[in-house]
Amino acid sequence: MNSSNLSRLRLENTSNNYVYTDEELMSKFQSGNQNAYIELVNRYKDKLVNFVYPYVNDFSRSEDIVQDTMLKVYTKKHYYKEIAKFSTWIYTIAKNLANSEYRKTKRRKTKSFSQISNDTEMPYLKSPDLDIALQYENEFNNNKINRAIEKLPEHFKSVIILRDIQEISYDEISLIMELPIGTVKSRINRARLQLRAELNNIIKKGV
Amino acid sequence: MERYEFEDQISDYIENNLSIKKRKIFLEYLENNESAKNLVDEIKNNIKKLNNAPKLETSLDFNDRIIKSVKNIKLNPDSIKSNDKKRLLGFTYLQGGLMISFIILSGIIGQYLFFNESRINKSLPYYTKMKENNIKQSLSQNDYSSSKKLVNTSKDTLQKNKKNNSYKGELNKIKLVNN
Repeated sequence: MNSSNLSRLRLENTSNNYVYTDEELMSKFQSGNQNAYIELVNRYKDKLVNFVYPYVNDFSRSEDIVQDTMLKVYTKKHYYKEIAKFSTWIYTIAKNLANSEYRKTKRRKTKSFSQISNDTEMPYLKSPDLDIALQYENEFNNNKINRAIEKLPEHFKSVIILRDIQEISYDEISLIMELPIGTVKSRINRARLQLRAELNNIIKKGV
Repeated sequence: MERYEFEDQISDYIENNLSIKKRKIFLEYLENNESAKNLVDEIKNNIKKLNNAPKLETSLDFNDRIIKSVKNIKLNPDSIKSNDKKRLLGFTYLQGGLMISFIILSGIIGQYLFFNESRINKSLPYYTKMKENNIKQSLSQNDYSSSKKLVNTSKDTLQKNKKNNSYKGELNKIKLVNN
């Protein structure tokens, strides 16, 4: 793929406002522009890894799921119709793949999720501009939050990630999760309450 | 305002989705309830933490891997189509075959069991009659005399027992009189 063409598509200003919307890029890709596809991959790869990670608790497997998602987008590009937002479509694909992977893991039962959470740390990247003490403090807090999220039931986990980490609107979450908006709202509310309780438990136990 | 009502409205309050009237009631509840205020503050704080948490990033070779896979698909487009073809009504051929063979097997076993049972039911009266006749015949031909002898001997023993018992009873009476 030509890098100069790619950079033309990647035109964006500092406030993350893209020249082309996702839907425009998708329509370009549908009409044969491969660079538009790469640009879509660049826009969504990190978001999707963050979304998928809590399902599998394994970074390389979540990368594999995102890769499969991207390949599905490539092979099923004609299934996408512009009536829906591209983000909803791609998140739905990722969610379905992550769900089936989660079910497989559950069936295998090779390793319990609690074990995984104790063994593996979230491979979060540290911000280079923070001093070391602050970085450690942030990492400590993030680990606590991650453990609390892992302890949430599956139906709470996905909605809270979409809302509070990915900052996706209620309408879009309702489309991605295929749930009525009222259910989404109440699940997010319950998830926040439970997350707070789990965090308190973790702090009490001194983990 | 009840506690559960308050808890249900926390997210709407934080995200400014409450109507003016409901917001007023909510604020009044918060003013009179310290623990409720703490709960709202904690949830707000957690949302902030989640928003600001550092995010995962895909590895540097991620795009290369995608491009490689895309090239593979281009070179061998049947690899994906064949995967689609391998499915029949959402089941793989292996799953479908297993299911069909299971259904056929259970049908055969069911039929076999049903017909066998009916055969046994029909033949039972005939079988039992045959057995009864055989027993009668054998009794009448061979064992009739022996059975008669047996009956006679049993009658003799009964009579002897009776005699003995009556004798013993008389002896007891004599003993009682003597006493």
